[in-house]
Amino acid sequence: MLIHGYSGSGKSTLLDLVCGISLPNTGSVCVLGEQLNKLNSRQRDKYRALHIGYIFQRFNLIEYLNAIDNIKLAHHFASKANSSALINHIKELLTTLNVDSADWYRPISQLSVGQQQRVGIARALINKPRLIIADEPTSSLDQTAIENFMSLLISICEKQGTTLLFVSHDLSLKKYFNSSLALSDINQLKSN
Amino acid sequence: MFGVGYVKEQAKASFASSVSGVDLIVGARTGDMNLLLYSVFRIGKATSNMSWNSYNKLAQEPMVKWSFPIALGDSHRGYRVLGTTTDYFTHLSYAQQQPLIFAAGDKFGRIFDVVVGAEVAKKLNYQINDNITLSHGIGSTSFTHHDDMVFRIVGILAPTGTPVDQTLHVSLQGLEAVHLTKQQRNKLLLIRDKRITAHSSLVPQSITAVMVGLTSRMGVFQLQRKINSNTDEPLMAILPGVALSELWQMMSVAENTLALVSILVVVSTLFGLSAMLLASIRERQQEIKLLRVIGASPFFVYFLIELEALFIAVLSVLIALTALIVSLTVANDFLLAEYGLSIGSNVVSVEIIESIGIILLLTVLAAFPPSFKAFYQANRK
Repeated sequence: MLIHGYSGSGKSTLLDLVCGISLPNTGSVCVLGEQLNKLNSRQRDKYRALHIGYIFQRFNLIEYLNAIDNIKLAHHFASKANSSALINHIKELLTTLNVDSADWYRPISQLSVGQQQRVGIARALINKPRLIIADEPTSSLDQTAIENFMSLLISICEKQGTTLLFVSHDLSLKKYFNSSLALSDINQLKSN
Repeated sequence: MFGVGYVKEQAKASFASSVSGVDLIVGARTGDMNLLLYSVFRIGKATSNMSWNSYNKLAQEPMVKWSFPIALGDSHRGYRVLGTTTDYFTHLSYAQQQPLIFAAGDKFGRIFDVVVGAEVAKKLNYQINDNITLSHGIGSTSFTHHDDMVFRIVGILAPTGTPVDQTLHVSLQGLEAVHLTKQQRNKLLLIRDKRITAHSSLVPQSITAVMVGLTSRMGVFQLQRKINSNTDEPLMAILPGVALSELWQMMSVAENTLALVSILVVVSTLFGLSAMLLASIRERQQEIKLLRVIGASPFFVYFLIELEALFIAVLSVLIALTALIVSLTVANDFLLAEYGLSIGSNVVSVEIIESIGIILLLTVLAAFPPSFKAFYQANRK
C-alpha cells in the first residue's frame, strides 16, 4: 500500500507507531494481528526485529561496516544463531538485488546511493518479515535507479508474500501499488 | 603517568640496592644525609675526616664482623676516585647479597694499582695494564695535574647498577700519594713495585668513612649509640636504610607533585574524551534510529557507546605501555652512565595493573554522559 503525503505531516509518528518504537497515548495499535501497546519495550524490540523490515530514505546502513556485516547485524537482533547458511542466504539476496559480489565486503561509504538502497532492501528482508515499511526510499534516487529499485522491491514482496507499506510524496509511484491512502485523510487531530 | 610511577619505584630500588650490604656507616660527625651521599653515592665532599686509629678501634669491636675504610676526594675525568683497602672487594655486596665480581684482573696489591668500575672502563675504554693519571680535586678538568702520579689498571669490575660502576678504586696509600710533596713522592716511586703490607711506611692518615658489617643485626642500635656518644673523636654512625628513607621523605614533596600532575593529565584527557563523544552523539542520530529500527534496545545503544570509550582507553593504555618500554630500553644505557641508575624495562607490576584498572573504571564513568545521551535519544523516538 502506498501512503502519500509530505514529511512533517505526521508521517514519522505514524511509522513509529506501526513499528512499535513509540506507543499511542490512547487507544491501541494492532499490527499483523498483534496488539503492540500491550507489549513491553523489550518485547516490541524483538517483535520489530522478527516481523518488520524497515527501509529509510537515507542512512539505511551503518557506514563503517560493509554490506554483509550490516545485514548480519539486522539478523543478530532477531535471533542468536549465526551460521554459514546465513551467509549464503545473504549472498543470494544481494545477488537477486543486483548487488555485485565485488561490493559485498567494501565499506558502505564506498557504494553508490542506488547500491546502498538495494543493500537496504536486503537488510530489511533478511529475517523474512511479514511487513516491510518503506519510508521515502526512492527520494534520493534518479529515475533509472527508482525503476530498478521499485521493480526489485515489488517482485520480492510478491514472491515472499510480504505486506509492503510504502510512504512517499511521489505520486507517480502509484502505479506499482494495489491501494493507496492520502496521509491527510488518516491524520486527524482532535482538538479539545 | 605509568612512566612517572615506574621510574620512581625503580630509582628507589636502585638506590636501595646500593646500600643493601652495609649495616652501619661510620664517619665524622657531620650530617646523616651528607655521610650517606658521599660514602655510598660519591656525591659531595666530606667536611671532616676520621682518624685511622678510630678505624682500628672500630674494627676490633666484638659486634663487628667486617669493616673497611674509604677515603673520597679525587677525580679522574669526571669519575670519583675512592681510596680503600682490599677488604672492600671482599665484603661489599649489593642488591640481593651479590658480591663484587671482577670482569677482568684482580684487586690492587701495590700502591699505584687501580681497579675501575664497569662504567668507567666502558666509557673511557680502559683495559687491564693501561696507565692513567689521577688529579687532585673534583671535576673533569683540574688545575693541578700530577703527571707523576701514574696508576696502572689491574682490575675491572663487572657491572652492578650501583655507583660502584662509576668509581675508580685505589689503595688508601695510593690516594694519599697524590697529595704528597714532590720530594716525598719521589721517595715513594722507588718502592712503587713493592706490595703494600701492614708494615709499609705509608700509614693512611685519615679516612672519610668506614663501612661496617655486623655479626648480628640486633646489635646495630647499640653500636650506633656507642659511636655517636664517643668522646675521643666526634664520630657518627648511620643505618643506610634509615638514612635512605629520610632522603626519600625529603624528596616526597617533589615526588608527590609530579605524581599529582600526571594524574591530572589523565583526568583532563578523560574529560576531553567525554566531550568528544558527547558531541558525536548528535551526529549519530540516524545511526541510533537505524539501530532501534532493526531491533536494538536503548540499553544496547548505551553499551555501544561505553564500549567504544573503553576500546579507546584500552588502545591508549597499550600504546602508552609500548612507548614506555621502548623508551626505557633506549634510555637504559644513558641513565646508567650518567646517573648510576639501573632501570629495567619490565614495567608490568601489581601497581601498574591497579592503575590500569582505575583508568578503565574512570573511562566508563567519563563515558556515562555521552552514553546516557545516546540512550535517551534512543528511548525518545
